[in-house]
Amino acid sequence: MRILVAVKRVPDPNQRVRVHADGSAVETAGLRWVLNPYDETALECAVRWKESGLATEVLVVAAGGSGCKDILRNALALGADRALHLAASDEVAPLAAARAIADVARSEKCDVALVGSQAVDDGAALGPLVGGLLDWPQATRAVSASVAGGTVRVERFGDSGVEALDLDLPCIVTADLRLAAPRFASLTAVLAAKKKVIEERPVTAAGDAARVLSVAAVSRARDARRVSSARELLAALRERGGL
Amino acid sequence: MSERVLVVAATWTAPDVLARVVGAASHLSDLIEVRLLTATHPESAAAVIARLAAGARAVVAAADDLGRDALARASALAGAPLLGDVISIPDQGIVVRPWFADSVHATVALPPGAFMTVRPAAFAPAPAVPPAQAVEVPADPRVRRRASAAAVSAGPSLATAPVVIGAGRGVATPARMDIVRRIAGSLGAAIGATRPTVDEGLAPGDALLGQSGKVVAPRLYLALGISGALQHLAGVKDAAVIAAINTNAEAPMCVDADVVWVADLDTALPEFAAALEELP
Repeated sequence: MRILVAVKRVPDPNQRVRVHADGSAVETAGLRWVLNPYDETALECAVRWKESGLATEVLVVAAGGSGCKDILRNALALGADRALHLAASDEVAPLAAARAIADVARSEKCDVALVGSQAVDDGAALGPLVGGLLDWPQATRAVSASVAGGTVRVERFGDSGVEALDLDLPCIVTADLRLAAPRFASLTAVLAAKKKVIEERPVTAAGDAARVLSVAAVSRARDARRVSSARELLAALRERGGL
Repeated sequence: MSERVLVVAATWTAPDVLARVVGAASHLSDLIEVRLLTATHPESAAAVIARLAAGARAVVAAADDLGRDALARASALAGAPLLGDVISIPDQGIVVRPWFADSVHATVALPPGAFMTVRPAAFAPAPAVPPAQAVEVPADPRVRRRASAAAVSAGPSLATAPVVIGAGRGVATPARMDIVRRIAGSLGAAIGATRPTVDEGLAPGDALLGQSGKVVAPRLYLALGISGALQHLAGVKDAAVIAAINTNAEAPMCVDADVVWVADLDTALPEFAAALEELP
């Protein structure tokens, strides 16, 4: 069984993102970039499947500019066997990225695709797009996933709680953060990953992303009034209409 | 392209949620068509939605299982752009979306024929919902549901409760959670939780609040023992009033609250529970 894992490069979620003073764009200078944590969880699940003999190969793909190389190398250090950069000059629109990734799943004859259930930057849903293009069944926000025979057994976190599904292969599973706690790459693995070749294929159509007219940092205008007893808390809540 | 805007929901979607999605769609057009799907199997629902969407100016659904899974999948089938988690529609051709766990709002041009999911809590309900037609959605034999194992939250629904309590790491012990439940009972509140509390098994998975859980907008959000990671704040920041009880005054949750009580939780929780129970 061959597993495709799609990953995205995103700003480290543990930092405040600033916007340009003219509101034209997000300030990218000085941002720390990381492998999207949801995708990292998907990758961990894929690598565990491979380590337990359920899969033969983990292929990791990323669509976008040259910065993708860093996270692909990171993914190799975390246990992926091969890395493929779907290279574009700039960011690739979600549908165009999904098309390029679906093409890889077909040409590489992958049996299952694993991807994060969301990206920390814009929350975009890549999994259902790829699933639709491939006409593969999908399970989103998986909190557990295992393979038995030709079936993937998933518990997913849905609107009404945890739901248990069996999916025929090939299928696509998107990872909740609880799916598999990612490992830390060992020094040996990091060094070995540096020597691996990152394959490259151009993305021919980067697609049209929705045109961004302006961006604004969300102001947090609450005044954090201090109280020091339950009675004071109740009074403050009443005064502000909370009770 | 017509002015028709298609709204899709499930036959069991709560009336208030549907009214809010229609309320959002009414910013785009007066000509709104509502279709209620009998099932939300994303594989077959997506095909149905893509077919119904032909020629529509926009397709709108709530940012729930149906919107995130089936509508998103349908957008790929239709080759249409997808805009998720829309929180405001200032003009017919313009929508606002949150980025970076709601710390940035992006104003984006709405391309014709776009598919979008909206956060119901961010929109006022439409005064009247147009007559809705039910559409049969077949099951996909490639996906089989097994009996659901996990517990589901009891008590008021997080989506509609006027008061929501968030139970964080600071209250993630069985004894403290008992007091949290007393407080919730007095306030008629729904109990939500952060990831550590869910992981400890002290709250069911569907009670998770935040970017990867539920987004709520109650009249009062009471954060108990919550430090307030950005991913959590993204799910609760639209509450009208936010109060926090926490040991650490510097926690982001306290900085972003209207009312803050810095106190030891083992003292504060029983005191607050008792004060509520004494109310007439």
